[in-house]
Amino acid sequence: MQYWINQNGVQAGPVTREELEKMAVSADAYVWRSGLDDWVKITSLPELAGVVSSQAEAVEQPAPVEGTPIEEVAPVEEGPVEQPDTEPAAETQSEVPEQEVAVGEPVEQPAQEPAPVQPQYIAPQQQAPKRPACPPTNLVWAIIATVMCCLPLGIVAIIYSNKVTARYYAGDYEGAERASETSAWWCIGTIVAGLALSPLVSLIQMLITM
Amino acid sequence: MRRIIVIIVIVVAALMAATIYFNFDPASSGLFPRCIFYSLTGYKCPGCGTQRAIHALLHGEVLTAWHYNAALLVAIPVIALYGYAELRRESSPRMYARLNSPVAIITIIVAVMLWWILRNLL
Repeated sequence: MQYWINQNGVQAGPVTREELEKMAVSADAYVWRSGLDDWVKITSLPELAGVVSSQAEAVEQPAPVEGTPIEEVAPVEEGPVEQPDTEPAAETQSEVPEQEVAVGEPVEQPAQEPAPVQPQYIAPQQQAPKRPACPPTNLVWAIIATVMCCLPLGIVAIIYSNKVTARYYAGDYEGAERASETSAWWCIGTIVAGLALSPLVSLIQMLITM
Repeated sequence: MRRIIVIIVIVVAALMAATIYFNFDPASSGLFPRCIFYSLTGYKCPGCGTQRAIHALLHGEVLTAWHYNAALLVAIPVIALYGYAELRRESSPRMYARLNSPVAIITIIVAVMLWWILRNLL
C-alpha cells in the first residue's frame, strides 16, 4: 500500500508504511491512499497506528485532559474531526468567507496549498485549529425547563446558555465549556427539582393550612 | 448511534407524557407537580399553567391552552426550530450558529422575563 503524506503543508509520497515509520511523522499530519475519498488525519487510520512518532504524541496528550484549547495545542488534534461548525474538511475554499461571517470572528488562514497529487489537499488544519467546536448551549433544554417545569430556575440555564456563545466568540473556549456544563446542570436540576420537590412543597403547604 | 438512542428516549418519553396529560386533567387531579414558586410566593412563574395548557392542547382546545399559558404556544415552535437546528448542526452550521448567537439567546431571556412580569401584573 502506498501513502501520500502532508505534514505542515509539505507533501510527500508515494511512500510505504515502513518509510512513514522512519519519517518522524507528527500526529497532525494528513495522509491519503487509494480508497480514501479525501485526506484524513494520520491518527484516524488504524492501519497507521504505530507510525506517529512518540514525541509528537507526547506533545498532544496533555491538551484534552486539561481541556484548555490553547491555540497552538488543543485545536491541532481536535481539528477537522470535531469541527463541523467551522469548516468540514470536505467543503471547498469558496465557502470559507461565508462561514466566518456566520461565526462572527475572522479567522485568517495562510493559503497553503501544496501541489495537488491525488485529491487536492485543502489543508484542513489551516483553518480548523484556530477554533474548536462551540460547546453545546443546551438552549433547547433550558427553554423546556423554563416553560414546562414547575420552577423559574430554567432562566438561569438560559443565561448560562448565553454565556456559552458569548465566551466562545470572545475566544474563551474553556469558559464556554464550563458555561455549557453549568447550563446543563441547571437544566437537569430544574427538571428534577420541579418533579421531585413539588409534591414535597404541596405536602408542607397542606400541613400548614390544616 | 448515541444520538439515535437519545432521540428514541426523548420520543418515547414525550409519547408517555402525552398519554398521561391526555388522560388526566392537571386542573382537577392532584397527581401533578405544582409550581414551587407559585406555592411559595403566590406569583406565577413563566411556566405556570403549562401542564393544564398541554392537557387542553391535546384535546384540541387551543384557546384554553393560550389562556393557561400563552408562552407554551409560543415556545412550541421555538423549541421545534431549535431541536431541528440541533439535529442539523453538521449540515447547516450557520443556522445553528445564528440561533445560538448571543443576540438570539438574549432575546429569549428578555422575552421570558417580560412574560414573567407581565403575566403577574395583568
